[in-house]
Amino acid sequence: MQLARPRSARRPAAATGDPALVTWSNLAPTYALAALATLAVALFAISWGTVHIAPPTTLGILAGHLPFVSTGEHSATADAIIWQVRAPRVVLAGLVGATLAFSGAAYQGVFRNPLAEPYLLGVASGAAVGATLILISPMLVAAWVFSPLPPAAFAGALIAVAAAYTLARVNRRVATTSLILSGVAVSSVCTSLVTYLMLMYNTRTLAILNWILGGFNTASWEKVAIGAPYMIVAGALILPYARLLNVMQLDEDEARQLGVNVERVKLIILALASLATAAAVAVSGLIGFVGLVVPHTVRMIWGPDYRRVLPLSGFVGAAFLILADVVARSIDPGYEVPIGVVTALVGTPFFLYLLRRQSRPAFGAA
Amino acid sequence: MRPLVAMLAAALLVAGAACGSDSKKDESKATAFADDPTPITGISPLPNYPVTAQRSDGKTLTVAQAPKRIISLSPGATEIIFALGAEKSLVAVDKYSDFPEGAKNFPEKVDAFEPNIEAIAALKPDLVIVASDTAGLVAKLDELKVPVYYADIDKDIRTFNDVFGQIRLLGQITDTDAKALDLIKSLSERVNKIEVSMQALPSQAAPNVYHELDSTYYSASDNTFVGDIYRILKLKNIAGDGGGVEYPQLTQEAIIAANPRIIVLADEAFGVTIESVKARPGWGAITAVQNNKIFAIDPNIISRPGPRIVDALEQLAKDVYPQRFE
Repeated sequence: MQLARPRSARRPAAATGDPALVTWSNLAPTYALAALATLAVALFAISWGTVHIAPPTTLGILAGHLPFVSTGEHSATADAIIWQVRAPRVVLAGLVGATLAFSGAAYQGVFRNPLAEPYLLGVASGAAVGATLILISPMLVAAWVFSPLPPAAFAGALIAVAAAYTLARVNRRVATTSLILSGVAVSSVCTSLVTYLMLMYNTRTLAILNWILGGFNTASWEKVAIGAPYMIVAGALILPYARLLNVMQLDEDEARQLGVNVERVKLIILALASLATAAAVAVSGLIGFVGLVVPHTVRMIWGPDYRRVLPLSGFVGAAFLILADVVARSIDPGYEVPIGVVTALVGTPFFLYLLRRQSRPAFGAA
Repeated sequence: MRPLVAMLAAALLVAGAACGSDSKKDESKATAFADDPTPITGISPLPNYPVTAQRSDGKTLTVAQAPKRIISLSPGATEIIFALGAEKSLVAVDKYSDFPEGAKNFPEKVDAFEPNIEAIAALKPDLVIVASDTAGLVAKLDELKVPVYYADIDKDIRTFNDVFGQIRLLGQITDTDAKALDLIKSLSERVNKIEVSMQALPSQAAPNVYHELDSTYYSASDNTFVGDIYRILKLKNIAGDGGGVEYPQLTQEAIIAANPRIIVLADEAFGVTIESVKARPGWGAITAVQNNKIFAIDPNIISRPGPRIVDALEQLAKDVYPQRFE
C-alpha cells in the first residue's frame, strides 16, 4: 500500500501532463500504443486502393519482401502495385506527415506562437523556387529516375531559411520576432519569384502548380531513401530537447538560470526542424495544414508536455497524412485529387470541433 | 387569276427566302461546329460576309469584311492561317506560335497567358483569336470593342471535325474559303484512309493505350482530340472519360493495373524518355514496357487544333500498326 501511494499520486499528474512529475519511462506505453496504431493505419492504407487486392495477398507480398521470408509467387502486377507503388506511397506519406507535424510542434515550442508552422521561415517557398528553376530549365530533367528535383527543392529550402536567419541577425543576436518577420519577407520574395516564373514559362505552369500542390502519386522507394535520413535523424536529435522546451514555455529566464544557453538551443531545434521539413517538402511538395494543426490537436487531447506533443504529433501526423492520401486516391477511383485539398477539407472541421469543445486554451503552457 | 398568280408567286418567294435563310443559317452552323464533316466538303464557296461565329462564351461574333490586322493568341489558329496562306492578315501572334517557320520568326509576338491588353490594343487589331480565356481577357477586349473570336481549346475543340470546323471558319473570315475547303478535303481524305483501313480490324483486338502528358501522370480523356485520335485508331484509352475532366491526373496504380499495351509519351520535351519510363519502379509489369511499345510524339502536333493533328494521327497509326500502315 505504501508503494501504491506515489503511483496513484503520479497518475493524475500524467493525465494532466504536469511536466515536472512525468518521467520518460512513464511515456513508453503511450509511444508504443501510438506507434502500433500508426502501423495499423499504414497496413490498412497499403491494402486499400483502386485495384482490389485481398488483404492476405497484400500482407503476403509485403512479407515476401522482408529478408529471409518467402511467401510464394504472386502476380507481377499485384507485386508491382503493392510493393513498388502503394507501399512507398504510404511510407512516404507517413514520413512526411510525421515530419511536418513534429517540426510544426518544435517551431511552435521555440516561437511560443500558436501560428508558427514549419513553413514559417521560408522552407516551402524556398523549395518552390528550387523546384520551379528545375521545372523550367531547358535541360531535360523531369524524368523521375535520379531526378534533380528533390535536391534542388531541398537546396532552395535551406537557402531561404539561411537567408531569413541572416537577415534577422542583428548584433550577433537573433530575436524570434525578427526571425518570424524576416521569414515572412523571404517567403513573399520567393512566392513572387515563383509566380513570375510560372507566367514566364507558361507551358510549365501546370507542372509547377502540380509540384506546389504536392502529393504522393510519384512516390517511390528512391524518394523515401532521399528524405528519410534527414527526417529521422532530425527527429531523433530534437526529441531530447523536449524537457527544455517545457521549461522554456514557462520562463526563458529560469532556463537561463539553470545554465541553459536558450538562444543556442532554439537555433539547434529550428535548424534541425527546418532541415527535416526541407527534406519532406523536397519529396512531396507543399502540403499545408498538417504542420500547423496536428500539434494543436495533440496538445488539446494529450496536454502541453513536449515529451508527449513532439512524438505524438509525429505519429498523429503520419496517420493523418496517410489517411488523407487514401481519401485523395479514393474519391474518384483511378484519378487523383490534390492531397492539400483533402487535408484542409477533412482536417479543418475536425480541428474546429476540437477547438470549440475543449475548455483548455488551444495553446500555452497549461 | 392574276391576283392568284401574284399571291402564289409571293408565297413562293417568301418560302424561297425562308429556305434560303434557313439553309444559310444551317450552313454557317455546320461550318463552325459540325459533328459530321461530309456536308462541309460538298458545299461550294459562298460570298462570305458577313461571317457570324458562335463563341465559347455564348456570344456571337460578326465579321463584316476580311480583317487585315489579326492577332492570333492560339498556336493552332496561327498554323491554320499560315496553311491557308492568309498570314498577310496577321499583325501579331502569341509567343508559342512556333510553326511554321514564318510564325516562329514573326516580328510581333504577344503573350497569350499574361496578355498585356495595352500591347494588344496598341496594335489596333481588327480581330483577336483566343483559345483560352485567361484573366478575363475576352471580356476586356469586348469592353475595348476589339472583335474577338474565342473557341475554347478544352471545351469546344474536341474532335477532328471541330478542328476542320475551325479551318472552315478561319477560311471564311480571312476570305480564303476555297483554300480552306481544299485543305479540309485533303486532310479528311488522309483521315478517311486510316479509318477505312481500321475497319478491317475487329474491335475486340483493340489494344489499350496510356497517353502521358507529364511525369505526374496527367493524361487526356476520350473527350479531347487526343481521345479522338485513339477512337479512330480503335485504341482503348485507359483515361476513359476522365471522371468528367478533359485532362485528368491518373493514379499510378490504376495505370499499372490497366496494363496498357501501348504507351504514348507527349512529354519528351520535358525530359521523360522511353528509357526513363522503363526504369520507373513497378512499370516493368506493364505489357507496353515489356514489348517495347512506348512511342514518343511531339506534343505540339498532338495538342494543337491545327492541320498537323492529322500528322499526329498518321504517325501514331504507323507506330501502333506497323504492318497496316507502311
